[in-house]
Amino acid sequence: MNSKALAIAILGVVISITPAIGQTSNENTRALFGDLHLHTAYSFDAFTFKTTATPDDAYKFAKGAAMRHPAGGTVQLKRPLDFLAVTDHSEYMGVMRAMADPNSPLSRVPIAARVTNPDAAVSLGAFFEMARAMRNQKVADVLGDDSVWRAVVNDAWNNVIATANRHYVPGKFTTFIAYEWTSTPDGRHMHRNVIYRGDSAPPPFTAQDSQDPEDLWNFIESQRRKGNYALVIPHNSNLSDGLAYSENDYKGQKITADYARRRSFYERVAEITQIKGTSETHPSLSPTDEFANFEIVDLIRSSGIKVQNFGGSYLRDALRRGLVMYENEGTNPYKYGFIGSSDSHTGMSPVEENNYFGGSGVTDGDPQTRLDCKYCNGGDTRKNGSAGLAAVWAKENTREAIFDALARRESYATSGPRILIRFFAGYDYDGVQPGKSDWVAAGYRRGVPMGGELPVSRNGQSPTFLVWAAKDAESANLDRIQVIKVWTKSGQSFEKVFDVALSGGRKVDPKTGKAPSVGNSVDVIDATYKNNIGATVLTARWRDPEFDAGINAAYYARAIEIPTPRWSTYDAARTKRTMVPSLPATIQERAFTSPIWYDVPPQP
Amino acid sequence: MKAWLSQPLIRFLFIGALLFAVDAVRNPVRPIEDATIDVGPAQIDWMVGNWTAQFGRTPSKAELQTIIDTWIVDEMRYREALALKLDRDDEIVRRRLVQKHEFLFSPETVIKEPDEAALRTHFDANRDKFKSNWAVSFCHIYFEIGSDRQRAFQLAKSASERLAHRAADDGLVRTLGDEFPHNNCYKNETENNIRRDFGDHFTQALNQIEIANWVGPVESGLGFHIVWISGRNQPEQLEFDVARPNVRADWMDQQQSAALNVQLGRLRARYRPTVNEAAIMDALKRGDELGRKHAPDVERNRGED
Repeated sequence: MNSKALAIAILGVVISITPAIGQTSNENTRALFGDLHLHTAYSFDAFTFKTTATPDDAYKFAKGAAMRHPAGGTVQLKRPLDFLAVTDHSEYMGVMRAMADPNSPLSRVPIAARVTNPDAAVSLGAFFEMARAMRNQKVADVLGDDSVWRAVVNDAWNNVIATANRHYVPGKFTTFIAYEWTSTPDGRHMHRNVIYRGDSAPPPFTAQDSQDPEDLWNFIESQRRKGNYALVIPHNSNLSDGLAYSENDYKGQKITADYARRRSFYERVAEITQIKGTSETHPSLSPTDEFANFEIVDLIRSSGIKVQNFGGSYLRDALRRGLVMYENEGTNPYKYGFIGSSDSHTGMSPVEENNYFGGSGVTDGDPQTRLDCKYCNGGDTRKNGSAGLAAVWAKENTREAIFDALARRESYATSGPRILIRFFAGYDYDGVQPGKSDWVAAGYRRGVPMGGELPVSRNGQSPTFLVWAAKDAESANLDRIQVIKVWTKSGQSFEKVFDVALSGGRKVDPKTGKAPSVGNSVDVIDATYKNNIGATVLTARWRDPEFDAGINAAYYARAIEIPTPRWSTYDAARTKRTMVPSLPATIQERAFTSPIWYDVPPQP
Repeated sequence: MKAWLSQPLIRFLFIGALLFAVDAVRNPVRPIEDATIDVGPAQIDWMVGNWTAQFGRTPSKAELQTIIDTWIVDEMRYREALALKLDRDDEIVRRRLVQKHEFLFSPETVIKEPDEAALRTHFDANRDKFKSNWAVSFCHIYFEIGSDRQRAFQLAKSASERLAHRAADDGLVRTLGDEFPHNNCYKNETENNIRRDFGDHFTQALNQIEIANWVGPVESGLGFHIVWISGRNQPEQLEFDVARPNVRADWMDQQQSAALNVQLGRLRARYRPTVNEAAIMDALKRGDELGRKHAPDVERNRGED
């Protein structure tokens, strides 16, 4: 049996990527918050940003330790994370660090002097050159002989594994062995993180081995047969210029059923929000969604390319494309659950809006440099958002429980605050009221949670959606909960946003279909807000008024906070400076749940 | 003294000496060890690459010439500055070099797994470190703030008055308060988990509340609470088997700091620092005054571009 046939056989028999099959009782799940995307000095770009933190430092920081920032000063998280994956770029892993070591032969390659130059503008130039060499598969031109730097990469990888295992405290703090596969064809991001479930992992399959995600899945598949389970998590699709969720594969061929099955098997969740922008949707793709314009970044810093193709770059659009493909071919490559993460390059996750310390070391590490846009060549880092969080509903804080929650897509994303949100759908929820006692148990038993698939409706019965969201105890009140529906009909796809729960007794105007604004309590000058608008908890039992049992659809929920100051507003207040007029003074932080799909199998 | 200084000849000599000194700094007649400045292909490639990355086009020949000239001037200044020791006492240069040194020479060996004996020894020597977490068991009644904070507070306050001296499971309890997003009762819960559900303020307050009585209102990030604490566990020493993972982690940490200490020890052996004790006392007394001197002089400037 060749590997493809075997994969299909496995897919046919076992529909789960994890060894824990058939565990469906999730009544005692709790929300855990973490970061599955973080870089340290082992990453070639982070090093040129003057980051010195190692994976060891990163795990200590996530557990609550204070750490020195490359731009000076000490930073610390007010609340530690529940889990963290250090995901250094596998390409050149540890190599830049070796360049700074006079005993390493790598310190004598011509670019080494610029990489280690104290002037960030110079080392940033070296970063652009390295990134270019990597993109163009011309690594030998900058680094010389393969064997030298490959040995350095192996050392770094062994350290990554040992450090992750050392910091893992089952039940309290979870670490993952992980790395980033940095495929950047023609300067467009096809980046993916690889997260392992166990305590050992083979040397990374890098973008130098291949830039084609299918080759990465082949590698993950071969590891799976050896008992090394891994997930592949795409991110920054907003910087892919339409490549990430295209109708074609990497080689430019139309996506096949086999491709779609493999992709949705290994890629269960995607990052919908992180420092380098939010990838939910773009205002041009969702002109009627008044909340679409949230932390949008459309300039690729490492290559200077301005994104032109928004279609294929955002996840809501990907859901729509996936449904169309399902309608036509019976397979959906884009069945993604959602997570948020940081993608910080300092070894530290800046998830707190009022405690933002940048993502790129000295180039955006202190308020002055950030607001002055001192190192903005390539892209305006002031448009970057403060980091997102990955949330999972898991039974316990362990590698297995978190990994399996991701694999069943029972995950959601937040733009930073620890908002709680649950989302269920089923046909048998009579008398179940979200928030009332035992409703969660009923939610699981009589329907499916976020990330799940609804069975086909019998007799045209319309499903009920249960949604519940609670504010973060340390953050702002909630403005509303929305359900976003995407659906297809005759090869066309559509989307619609429903306000299903509004704070303060507001009602949707039937004429405009919009709800009145929640208001804004932010004092922009002092960067403060009052929690005197919005709600602590919002709930809804909702039915889709346009439900059609014969039409493919997917639904996800979005909980939105009242307006609060953006990090740049906190910066301006802290440094007593004028705000940058081109940046929004306030934002509405939010949580995005993984979708629930309603699939109607195509008629033969 | 003043009269002496006003003598023209002395003045003349003084000004002359000053000019000489300035001239000596501005035009140092110092032999240069290596006067060559090579601008090679790698350097030029980098300049062109960096320019192209920044401006999105290749520089013209004239532009490149300017970049090269600037670079050469910078290099000359850089070397002169080094020769004049201008890098000394420069906080930015200092911090960067410290960072680089720390980064390069920090011990980062992969630490081997400890064996059972090592763990036992470490446990016995550090028993105080391996204690159970602070934990608290409590139930609470929740009052959502909603749109009227004062009203929620009053409701909670009157509930608290009605509950005074009643039992934990008094029939009244179930009739009061709103639905709480998390749990109504917590058993042996850790500080981090309480902070996650209730926020900072409430978690700290729990330490102060008397046990086995309805107490409140206590404010959290979500509203007001009337709290009944049934038990607070002060940290207790753990058995070895329970503490094993913590012992292992602590042992690892200790190995790493031991390696760092060896390195710092070697460094310390090379230097003999002396600190002026009198200056310490003096400076501490004048903290406020010294602080004002260092405060950044930034004008509050708002509403302008």
